[in-house]
Amino acid sequence: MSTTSLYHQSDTRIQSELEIIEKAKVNPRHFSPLYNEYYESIFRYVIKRTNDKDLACDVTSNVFIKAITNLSKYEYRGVPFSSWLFRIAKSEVYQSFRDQKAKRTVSLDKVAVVKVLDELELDGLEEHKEKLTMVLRKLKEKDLSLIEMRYFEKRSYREIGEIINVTENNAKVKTFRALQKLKILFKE
Amino acid sequence: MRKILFNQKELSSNEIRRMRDFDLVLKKVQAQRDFWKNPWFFGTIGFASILSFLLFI
Repeated sequence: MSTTSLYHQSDTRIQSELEIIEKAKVNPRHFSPLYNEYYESIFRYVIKRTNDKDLACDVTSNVFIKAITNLSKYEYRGVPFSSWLFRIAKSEVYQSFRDQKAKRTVSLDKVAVVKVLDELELDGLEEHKEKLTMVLRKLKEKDLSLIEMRYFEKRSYREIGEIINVTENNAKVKTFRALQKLKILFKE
Repeated sequence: MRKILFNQKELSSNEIRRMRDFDLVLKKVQAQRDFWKNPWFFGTIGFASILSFLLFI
């Protein structure tokens, strides 16, 4: 399964990001290259879950405000900077649901749906579309989030693990269990 | 209830790029820092703490 390419970074790139981070800790203006680099991926992460352009713009800004404000706490421990940003984004998106500014949205494309149906050993998008909609509404948030990251956003288990703060192997196990729950709900 | 959307039209990279505003982000970061540094903030908190302590005793 192909995964999102932005995550897989070379050592040189990680090193150059760390240099930018150290400079930005002293002067936030130096954060600009990281803002430009990750704005789009964070924005897409947010809008897929909120389906509101203006709100996604505000939430994305808040993610970067939080990142710059808490930059002094960031230490490189093998987790790429992008995963740290996605952790903040995850928390900001949930905050917008709590503030009732947004309604939880799941955005699916045809390819992703076919992939999930394939995992569930089912054929035919149109026959199962309605049932899938119903099942995705019933799934617990933590399970939905794993299915969403793995199958709809094509993230690697390593990245998922880093976003939800568990090991790569644990992310794989949790995603497998989430898929099993989806299967059970589908059969009901 | 969750909204499940199929095949939503995605915004182009150009449209998203146009929404970037790093200067505004910096301004908000600075405003937050200024808020915490503001002596009025701690003055008000301090006054409220003393007042609630006095009311308590």
